[in-house]
Amino acid sequence: MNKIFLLSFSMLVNVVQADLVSIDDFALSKVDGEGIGLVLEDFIFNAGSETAGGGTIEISGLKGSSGQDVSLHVSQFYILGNGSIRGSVVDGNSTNIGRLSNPFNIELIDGDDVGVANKAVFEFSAPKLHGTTSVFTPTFFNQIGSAGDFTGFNTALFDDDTTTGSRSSERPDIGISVDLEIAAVRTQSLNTHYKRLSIDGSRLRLWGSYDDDVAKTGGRMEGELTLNIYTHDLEFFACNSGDSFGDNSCGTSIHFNDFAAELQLGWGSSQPATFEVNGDGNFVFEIKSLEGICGGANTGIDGCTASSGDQSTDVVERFYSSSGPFSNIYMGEVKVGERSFGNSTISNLQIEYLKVSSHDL
Amino acid sequence: MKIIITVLSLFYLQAVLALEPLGENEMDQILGLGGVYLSGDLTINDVGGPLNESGAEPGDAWQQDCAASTNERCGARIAVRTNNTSGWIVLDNLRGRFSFEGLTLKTRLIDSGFDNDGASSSDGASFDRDVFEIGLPNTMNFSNVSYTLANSNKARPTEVGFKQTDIFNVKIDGNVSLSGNLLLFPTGNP
Repeated sequence: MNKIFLLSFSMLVNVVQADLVSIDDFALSKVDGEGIGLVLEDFIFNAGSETAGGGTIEISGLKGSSGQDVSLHVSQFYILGNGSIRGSVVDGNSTNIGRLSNPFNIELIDGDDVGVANKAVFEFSAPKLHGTTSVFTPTFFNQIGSAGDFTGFNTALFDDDTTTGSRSSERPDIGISVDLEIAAVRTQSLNTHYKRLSIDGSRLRLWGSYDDDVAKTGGRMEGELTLNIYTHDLEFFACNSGDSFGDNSCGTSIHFNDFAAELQLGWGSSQPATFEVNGDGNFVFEIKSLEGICGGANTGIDGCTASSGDQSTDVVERFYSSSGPFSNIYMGEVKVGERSFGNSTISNLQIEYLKVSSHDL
Repeated sequence: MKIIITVLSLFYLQAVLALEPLGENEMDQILGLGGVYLSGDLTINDVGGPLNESGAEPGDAWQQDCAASTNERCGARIAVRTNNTSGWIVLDNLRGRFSFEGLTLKTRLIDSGFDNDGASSSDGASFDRDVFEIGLPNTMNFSNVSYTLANSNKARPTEVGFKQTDIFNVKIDGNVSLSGNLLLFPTGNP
């Protein structure tokens, strides 16, 4: 009897002996969006030498035009609830950043859905925009110019609005005041203040790639950055070092009221953005060109239809459509002092190629 | 002998009865622990540490004290590269002391609050789930924390042909106010 039991148990043990098999990129690319949500509740950040009990933050190593040492001393750097009046209302002025039902999110997504075929893509995203998703409504139809399709500017994005994105209580005031020190003499204080800032709809996507997929050589990290900035008021002004807003030494403020920037850098694996350091120790930021993506003679604005490259069809056509990448900037009103300079927009700016590299002086 | 065994076995039976499953009602009466309260104090490479002079040949210029070196790369170094044939993005000369008091870790059920800017609806009530809460310390203290952001062609300064471009240095000394809670929770439909 005992022997029979032992035998049957040992068989059971054999049955459950399975190897752990590593998941390859293809299998991982099927991973579906269960991410980690992040919300900051009652958040206050306040630092800098002119804050109560605050310490010094110094950025150095920069040189002036004639070789003097230049350093920046942060007198205040804050993230506070809105209504902070340039960072002066700190106590109890907390803010939520992100919403329980629309949080910041970290997850692995299926690359097939976002133009990175057969790969898992890491995504860090800000709260999503809902409803109309641009300051231009609708941007793409504006671009091709059909009469009546352009319905104006979506200025609701600048204020609390449950239909477009973050609420008023989820839009912090952010600002930084920096004292400029040139050759050990503090000269000026430069101030930048954002009122009711939201970055709804922003996201960073990263994935790995090879120059040669078969030999697995030339591995690198590629990415795509969508950066949206919506603020009710972006203000710059300068004072003497140590002075703050309202003091006599302070110059006139420059205001960008209702300022929006919607930037898209990179577009899936067809036009990835890379940030690398070259062999000389200088950085290179590049957004690749679409040139040659279709292969052979099958190129041009009508789209490539051959199944080459890592997108099967019509990459170029889609690049120049509403699903392609484009950047918009909108300024509701530019004001210097009390004088208005009107409003200005940049729309449907498409980056076809970008390369920025640093060089030693 | 038999009597002893019988008595012992009776005891044994009694012992079996001691373990009982807890009912849902009894479980309700149990209070969980309130989480963890942390204070921390970390000092790294305060007087420099075993890093070497830039451009020196491997192994011949190890410094323990930054002050004793004229051309120092002094402190911890983190090097990352995003392309396996290229150069490195570097956080160098990482030094200083960093301390905080009162970081809390706990789980929390959110089933109320988070009002829609004072309107009647409550995000918390519809959320109705547990979150992991990291309570930020009200003050973080930095004591001479410094680092350099740089680009380099080698991971370590000891390697032959090492070249590095420093972009800027940051030094933080004193207190930074940081309060609030960071809430972490699974998204999607787990």
